[in-house]
Amino acid sequence: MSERPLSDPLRFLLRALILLAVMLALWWLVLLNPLLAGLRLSAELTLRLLPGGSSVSHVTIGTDGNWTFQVPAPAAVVNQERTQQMLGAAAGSGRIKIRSIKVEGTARYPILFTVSLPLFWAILLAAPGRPRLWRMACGTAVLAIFALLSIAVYAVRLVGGYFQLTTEGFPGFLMDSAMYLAAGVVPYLAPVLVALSLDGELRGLILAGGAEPAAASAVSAAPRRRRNR
Amino acid sequence: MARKLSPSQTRAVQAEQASAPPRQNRMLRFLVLFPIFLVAGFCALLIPFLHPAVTAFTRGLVEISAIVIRLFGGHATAQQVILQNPLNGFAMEVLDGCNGDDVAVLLWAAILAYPASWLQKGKGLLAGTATIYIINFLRIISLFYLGQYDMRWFEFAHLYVWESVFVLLTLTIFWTWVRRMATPGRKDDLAAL
Repeated sequence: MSERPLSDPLRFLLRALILLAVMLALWWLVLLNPLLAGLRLSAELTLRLLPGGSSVSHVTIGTDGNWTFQVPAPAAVVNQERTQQMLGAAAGSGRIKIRSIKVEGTARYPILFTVSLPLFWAILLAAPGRPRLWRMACGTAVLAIFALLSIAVYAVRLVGGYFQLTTEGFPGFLMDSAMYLAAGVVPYLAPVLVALSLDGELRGLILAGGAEPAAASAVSAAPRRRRNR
Repeated sequence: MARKLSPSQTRAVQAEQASAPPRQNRMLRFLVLFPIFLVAGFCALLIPFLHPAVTAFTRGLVEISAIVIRLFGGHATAQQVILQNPLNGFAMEVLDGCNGDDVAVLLWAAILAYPASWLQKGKGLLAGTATIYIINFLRIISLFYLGQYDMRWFEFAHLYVWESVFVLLTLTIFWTWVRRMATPGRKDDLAAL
């Protein structure tokens, strides 16, 4: 009895699903804490680059996994009447001055920002041909930068929410959109786009709708032999 | 074995080849158009003007999920975008990002940007979108039961497993569509998905 072989896309899907399960387990059980620690350190170093942020910026992860961002308070925002009222300054009295603020965010988002890595690894390892280490390394680095940018968006949203700057109107819409993209789109879409950008074989295979390299090379070798005759 | 072409057929093929844009140009066109369509699609999803339509679609998805669960002997009620088990009080809200629209936008952008006839694009969009929404429907029902079993597993499956699976599935649907166009004599692999 002859069995119909699976098509390349289905074979890729099955391989990728199995690898995704393995990579997600590896990520969750082994790599998550080191990744979050690295992300926290990178976020803190980035915040320290902000004006006035070198001495006051800190990012900490609590025992409950929640993240606390201590960031410099922008003077232009602190001096606003609305902010002063919010801080409790009485009318006619002197302005309240603050150097930094602390905002706390849930553990959920930073974890979400790193989920792109197991998906990316699964796609690259499931792709036909030998896995290339430099592609893995480059892609991982690019996705780590995306994660850092996403953390920055999250921190801006928390700080904006604290000062009630990004809770309504157009700024609110922009902030909600940025957060939607950072948490709902980038972690899942970026791995595919980065994998296809780095892996020319997989990209060529998908866009040409062709067969896997072995079959493809066999097909391309046939006319060459004929020409040599 | 290749069929020998008559001189007029050969001329027609040569003319077609001469008028067709080179393969590399077509791929370049795809690589330029795909991000444009992708950004346009996500902008469309974010525009407040379209929110009522998206929410209405999500509401319909929740309603149908509740009906299917009841048909198979389960307990579920739909209240707007909330799917609830009236027996144990478990409820889950299906948000705009959870209705499969994101991955549908990804697929639409890829298919629309790909050099193909409008008929082929239409078939791909129809079959691909239907596949995505059918599997999303299964996802919602599976999460509904998983949430009643264990919330930690629900969170893990919801945020990390299903979303990643959906992206892989979308990539596979697109690849299958392109492959099917490259080999027109093949049977429809989308049906096999």
